[in-house]
Amino acid sequence: MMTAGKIIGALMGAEGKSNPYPIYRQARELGSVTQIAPDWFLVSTYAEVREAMRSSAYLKNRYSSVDEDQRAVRRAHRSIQLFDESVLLKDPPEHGRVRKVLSAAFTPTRIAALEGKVQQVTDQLLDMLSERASAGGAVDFMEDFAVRLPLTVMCDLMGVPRKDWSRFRPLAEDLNAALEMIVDDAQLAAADAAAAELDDYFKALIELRRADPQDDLISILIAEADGEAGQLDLRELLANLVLLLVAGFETTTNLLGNALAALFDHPEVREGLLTGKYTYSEFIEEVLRFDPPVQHMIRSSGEPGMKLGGVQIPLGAELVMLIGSANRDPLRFPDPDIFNPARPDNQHLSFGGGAHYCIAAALARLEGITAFSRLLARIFHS
Amino acid sequence: MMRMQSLVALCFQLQRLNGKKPFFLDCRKVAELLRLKNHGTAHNWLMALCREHGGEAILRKVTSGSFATRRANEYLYVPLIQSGKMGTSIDSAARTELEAKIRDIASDLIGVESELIGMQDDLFGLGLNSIMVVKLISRLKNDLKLNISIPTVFVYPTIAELVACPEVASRGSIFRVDK
Repeated sequence: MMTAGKIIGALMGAEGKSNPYPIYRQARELGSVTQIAPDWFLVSTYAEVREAMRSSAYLKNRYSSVDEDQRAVRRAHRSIQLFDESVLLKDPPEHGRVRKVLSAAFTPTRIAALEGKVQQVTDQLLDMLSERASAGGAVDFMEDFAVRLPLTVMCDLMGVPRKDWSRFRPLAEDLNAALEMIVDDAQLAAADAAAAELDDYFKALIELRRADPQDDLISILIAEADGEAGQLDLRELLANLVLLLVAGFETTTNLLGNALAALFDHPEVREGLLTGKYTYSEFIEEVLRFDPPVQHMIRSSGEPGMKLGGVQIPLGAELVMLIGSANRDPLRFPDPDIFNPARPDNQHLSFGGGAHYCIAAALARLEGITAFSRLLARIFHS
Repeated sequence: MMRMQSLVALCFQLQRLNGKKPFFLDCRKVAELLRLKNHGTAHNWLMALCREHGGEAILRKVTSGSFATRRANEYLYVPLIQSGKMGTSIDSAARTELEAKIRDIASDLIGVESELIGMQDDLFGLGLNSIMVVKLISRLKNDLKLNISIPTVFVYPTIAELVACPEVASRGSIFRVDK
């Protein structure tokens, strides 16, 4: 018999990692909200995932969990603590204060101003790829482009020296394991080591910028932390810098990789983009829906007496929200397994929702659209 | 077994006193009766127990209090016990040494007494959480030399299933001696 627990097991296995979508279908057939354990639920349908994302009753920070063991584990690991101290896992009222400070860096005006920068970096990277290919060398789209575009843009935006970019890729991979639903001791040890290295890196950079402020995000955030209003404490400053750089680029890397895969899998979409049948914006939205870079998200119930999809959610219970499944819910998206950039009203949940809606969604979209419009133009119109 | 019977007995006693009306049973009482380490575990165990016997219809939880001041005794339960149905969830005892050893490790981690864990009980249903899963894996490896992956525990969530799963069955355990 299929159960919510077996679905979690299948998703963590090799099959689930390479193609989770058939397992998501089984999850939805089992129910919108199903129980893994007394305090642990799986949420698999669009309406319920969206509701949980947008409700203030479901908190981000598992640190507030009632389980003393869990709290002790979270305190003992710097990697987990870093995320706990960042805007990603803050809850009201702290969340609003920190989010407001960071939002200043991601206003539509500031993102629009980055357009030229994104184009420039894209073109430089594509030049490098084509030179290497002309010379008969192999080109790795993921390592040479999908990693470097968002990382370079983020380094420039933040004021992190570009020369250091190659350090962040392996550190990000190690650190991000701490965000997984379940991590073993070896993964946590690697995540903690990465966290310690990033701590040292950013502490040194903060000192440099404090002495000699520049027109960059780090200097802006230092001013907020050091200012009279004290909108950010030093631990939060450090945590959010790490979050923005390291946790921020990998999702866009995955978006770019998924977009390339979609073009290989659906040649008619490539034609459609070249003939103008689809816009690049529509294409990127459908990539986001079809293959979300973040497949699941976790929240904890912070209020008693909650109900989700008709199921009672105890106070403190943890919800595993399957974004990849919600985006393929046939009740919300007709023919969900068809890749269709012309899909009307494509309100996928890949950027989350509510107070924690991805702060850099506009930047991710800009990078996706720029990357693929330039890439296709170079290949097919030159 | 003793503890479970105490819980069942208490339920019936209260029900009699209440004249078959719904009654309240809190985590603190359960923790006391079952000698559980903490009230959170008592809550899990009570939920699991009542789910075994008909889910939400039998157990309707009424909660009150704010998140910050959550205490076990703020959880009130209204079990409508079906006569003779409670206390039968202990469907099977350990049959092999391996089963018994895994049961003892699970008991240690979840905080439910060994004799209350049946071989067909879903360990997650008893309150195994994401932290405990990781601890279970390392205990199985260190104490029993069993290399079981995390997903396996989810796919084979009972002790009976776990000892029969491919990762364990293929290794020809020294513990597989029937008593």
